[in-house]
Amino acid sequence: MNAPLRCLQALPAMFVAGLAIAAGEESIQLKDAPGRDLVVARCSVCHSVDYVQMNAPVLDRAGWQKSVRKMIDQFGAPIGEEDAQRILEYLATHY
Amino acid sequence: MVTRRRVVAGSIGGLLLSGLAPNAFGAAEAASEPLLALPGKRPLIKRTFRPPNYETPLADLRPQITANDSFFVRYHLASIPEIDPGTWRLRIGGASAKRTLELSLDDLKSGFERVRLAAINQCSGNRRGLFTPRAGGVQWTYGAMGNALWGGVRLRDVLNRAGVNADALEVVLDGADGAALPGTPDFVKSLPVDRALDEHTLIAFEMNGEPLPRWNGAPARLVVPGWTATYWVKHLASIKVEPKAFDGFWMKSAYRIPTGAFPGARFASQENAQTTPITEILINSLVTSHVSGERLERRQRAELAGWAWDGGSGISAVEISLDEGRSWRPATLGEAPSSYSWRGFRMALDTSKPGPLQIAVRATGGNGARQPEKLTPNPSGYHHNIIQTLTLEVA
Repeated sequence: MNAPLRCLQALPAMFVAGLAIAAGEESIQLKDAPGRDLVVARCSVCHSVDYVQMNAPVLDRAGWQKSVRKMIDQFGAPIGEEDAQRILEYLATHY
Repeated sequence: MVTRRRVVAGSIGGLLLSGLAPNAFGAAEAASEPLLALPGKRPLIKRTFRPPNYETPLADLRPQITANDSFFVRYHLASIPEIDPGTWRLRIGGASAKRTLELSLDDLKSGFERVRLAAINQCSGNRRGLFTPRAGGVQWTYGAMGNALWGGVRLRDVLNRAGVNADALEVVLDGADGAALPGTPDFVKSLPVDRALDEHTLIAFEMNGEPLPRWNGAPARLVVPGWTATYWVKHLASIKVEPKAFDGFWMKSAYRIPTGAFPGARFASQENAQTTPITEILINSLVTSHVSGERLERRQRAELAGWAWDGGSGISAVEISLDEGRSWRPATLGEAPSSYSWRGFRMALDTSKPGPLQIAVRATGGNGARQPEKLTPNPSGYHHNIIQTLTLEVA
């Protein structure tokens, strides 16, 4: 089992069951690199990952760091330190 | 009514889509902007799928009233209910209300005086994608706004039915939309009690004579004419009159601007030394007849046209400069159905000589405020209302 699936399983079942993606959302392709599956699994719980593409020209590493922290600290994303670091690394390196 | 004529063949929406429209304002428009349709909507500029954020293409902002099916869509939270209007109930209460009420849609429609008002609904972050330096958030260009005829009842009449105590400070509004995670702050907003009791603040259940579209707040939403759309809470579920400042995330941490940086109404109970809530829409204008970079045929009649609006003082003048702002000439103004609506402007362009036309447009409000030349930087990219400039090529 890969890491993203473990992460999803760690979430209470109701959140995963409630995850309804929007029509067309499956067409979003984030860059294929280590960390992508984790980003898709964790960020997609609350929002489509075109948010990543949209903010790519705007956010630098510090901006992505702030954004990831906002999702965890203000919006209640249940993401641990280790995963937060991997998510940041992917976003800051590829977007 | 302003009469406007399509001078250049071809769809502005198409130009945006193909990324061919050069524009002095920034990079956002050069990016690929897919036009996609939500159920019940025409194809709009998709910013994000979930929560759905869809922007109205410039071509659909040409009519004085923006059509329901092309009106922009903006959500913070992804769980958007489909509410049965027959079983929907609106709860009124709070610590500063004399009694609680539970109203059905029929109660609202039959129990209070009906009001209709044309008003601009503009996202606080409209044009954020044109900011320099760039600001994080939904990268809107011009179309996170529209002008509609809202039909409903006065919030004041409903609050007075419940009874408002003398100690009332804010009115707190909650909609039925929600988040995927329980830890995400629910989208709840508050208004100063005097703005809530203003005769123009409505609980609307109609938009342009039709029931509110699902994506625009069915079955009922708040309408706060002159204030940015963050206060126009959709899918209204509860309204509370409270004696203290509401301290939710969407008031205390979001939708805030640097204190003293912008004109507009003060929201005293939510203000601190550093930041204050965004409130009124600032004076602004938009050319809808052309986009920068378009070609005009020499000696063919051409007319520049668009809209000007503000937070409700009304538009007193729109001026156009063809010499980089050294001199300004008044454009012809059209009628506005209300001071909260936009007002049309138009001016014939001289196409007798080949070469570039450098055009700048600035509006002045009834309160004397005029569009600025420079952006006031602020972290969230709000209040983009600088003088629009565009270059057309006569050939």
